[in-house]
Amino acid sequence: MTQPGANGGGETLVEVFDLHKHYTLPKESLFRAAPRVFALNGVSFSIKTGRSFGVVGESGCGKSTLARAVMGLETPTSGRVLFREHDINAIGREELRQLRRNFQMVFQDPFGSLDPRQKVGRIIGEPMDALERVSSDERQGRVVEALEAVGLKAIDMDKYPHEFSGGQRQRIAIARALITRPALIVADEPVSALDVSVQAQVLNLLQDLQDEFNVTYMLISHDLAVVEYVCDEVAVMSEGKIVEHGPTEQIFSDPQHEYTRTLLDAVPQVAPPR
Amino acid sequence: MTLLSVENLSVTLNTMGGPARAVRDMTFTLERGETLGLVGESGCGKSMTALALMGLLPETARASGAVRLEGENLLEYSEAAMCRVRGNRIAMVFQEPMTSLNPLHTVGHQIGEALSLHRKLGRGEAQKEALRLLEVVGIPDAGKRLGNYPHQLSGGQRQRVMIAMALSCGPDLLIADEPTTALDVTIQKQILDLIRNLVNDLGMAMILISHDLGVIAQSVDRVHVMYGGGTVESGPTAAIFEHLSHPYTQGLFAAMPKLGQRAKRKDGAKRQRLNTIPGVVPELADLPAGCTFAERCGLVTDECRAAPPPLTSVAPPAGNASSGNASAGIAPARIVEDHFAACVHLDEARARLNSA
Repeated sequence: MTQPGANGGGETLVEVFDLHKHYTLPKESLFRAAPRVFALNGVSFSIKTGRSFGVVGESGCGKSTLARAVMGLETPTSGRVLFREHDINAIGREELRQLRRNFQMVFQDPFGSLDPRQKVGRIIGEPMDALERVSSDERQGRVVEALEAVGLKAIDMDKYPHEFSGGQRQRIAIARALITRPALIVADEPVSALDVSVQAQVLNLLQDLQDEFNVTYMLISHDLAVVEYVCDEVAVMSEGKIVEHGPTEQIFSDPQHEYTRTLLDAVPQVAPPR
Repeated sequence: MTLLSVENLSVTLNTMGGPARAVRDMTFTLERGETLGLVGESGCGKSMTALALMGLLPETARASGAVRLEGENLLEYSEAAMCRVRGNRIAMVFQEPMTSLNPLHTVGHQIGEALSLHRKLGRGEAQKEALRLLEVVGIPDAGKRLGNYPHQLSGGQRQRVMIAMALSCGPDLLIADEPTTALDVTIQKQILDLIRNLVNDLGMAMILISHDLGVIAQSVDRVHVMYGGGTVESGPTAAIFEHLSHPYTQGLFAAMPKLGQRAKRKDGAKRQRLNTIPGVVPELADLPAGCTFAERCGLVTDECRAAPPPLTSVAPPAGNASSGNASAGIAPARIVEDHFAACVHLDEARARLNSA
């Protein structure tokens, strides 16, 4: 398999081979087979350490299913997901649990993805608690470290999520993902619920964290401009398949697939001064 | 007579933190066939302005100023009188096509509702008209869709149904509050094209509310950029985007990732930071006495904090307008009379933009 954008970047971190995911819907008729949804129809790609991989597509194209499959939250119907050459669907539960510290997820909705009854310090520390036993001093230290990495303060750990704005909450979600010092962060629409000026802060933060910790991103978004800004490589998905895949510059300046062109044409742009 | 004239519209909400001025002194006029965009981030007052026009403000809110529809002040109307205006002369399309349709009624019934209420049409006639409207908004196989429930339609089709409902009584003014925010880009394009064509064909006036500068730039004649409940910049769309004048408008534009920027980056520059606006949106219950943007602005002085800056024309003083005006670096012919910004440091703001 050829590797687009093979220059730069380190070893391969994630490899996905011919991934299929079919869901069976409830039976509509007693005498007919239950209808099925083909969410993923043979998706293959690989992500190198320290790079950002973007997945764009419209709702229902399978991009969130793909993110969940890479996170090991969905069992694929067929195909393999390799993380550092471990097949995450073939290894044992305990092994997978230990492997999970290396990949964390940031969700779309900063209002729905944080438990309103937990203090921020506990929310951020939770992934670490699930994986290892640490002394309370060390725990505190790492929570503070994560908070400061995303531009919040140590005193924020005793507050509740409702005391924060949308952008700050998304920072908390990112801090929670960082706490296990992961190699890969899968971000499913991390900025689509945020205002433009706040979105810019979070996007800059994602880039700073990559420079500092050499994190690899898999960024799922419907917003082509965001993906173009963050990602080194882009896959365009439609109906459960990757229809075009390559370095970001190439996809955005010289799209080959009809669907990519349709998507790019539909983005409303501020007319450049004539 | 001017179709809609909004004069010093202010909305005050009673919140736990005291009275919050959600809308402050909005003033604009709109003629038939004209389109106006309100753009700004969450909490800037754009939706509250729309709700005030519709008479749909929450009960704790007080509106002052005037909203004149052909001379009649709607703020003085009783609820009963407002019911005859709402959905009839002013109609609204909401953001969420999933939640703003009633899941228990068929699409045909919901479109027909306004027709039987305002036009006193019988059931059969209302259904016939609903069918025609579904065809107008471009729903394929409209006859079959009439009997469908909202969950049987896709998001784009539901938004088309919402538009059909809004159009049903031939309103003079259509208010579209983030009509495409929940939709995919390709569907968004179809819906925006549809709205634009309908406004042209039917000669309505439209107010389009959006947080998306791209959507606004492509859809309306005039724009009000809102911040902290008030207008900070207003003018013809082309003029605003050619001469971003207010520091907030400039900041908003700079913070937006734009398509096609990566190809323009210098070789080897993997990263290019987005410009952000420092700080956060001020609490509406605790707005500063002066310019609402002062605490986040790089050009702030004591003058900004003293009093709210008035909206002033962006056009440079007469005299240097004809002489090429090299110092400001703007082609003077492009500056339009009715482009306003509420900033006391307009010249510095423009100079900063031109040097960037």
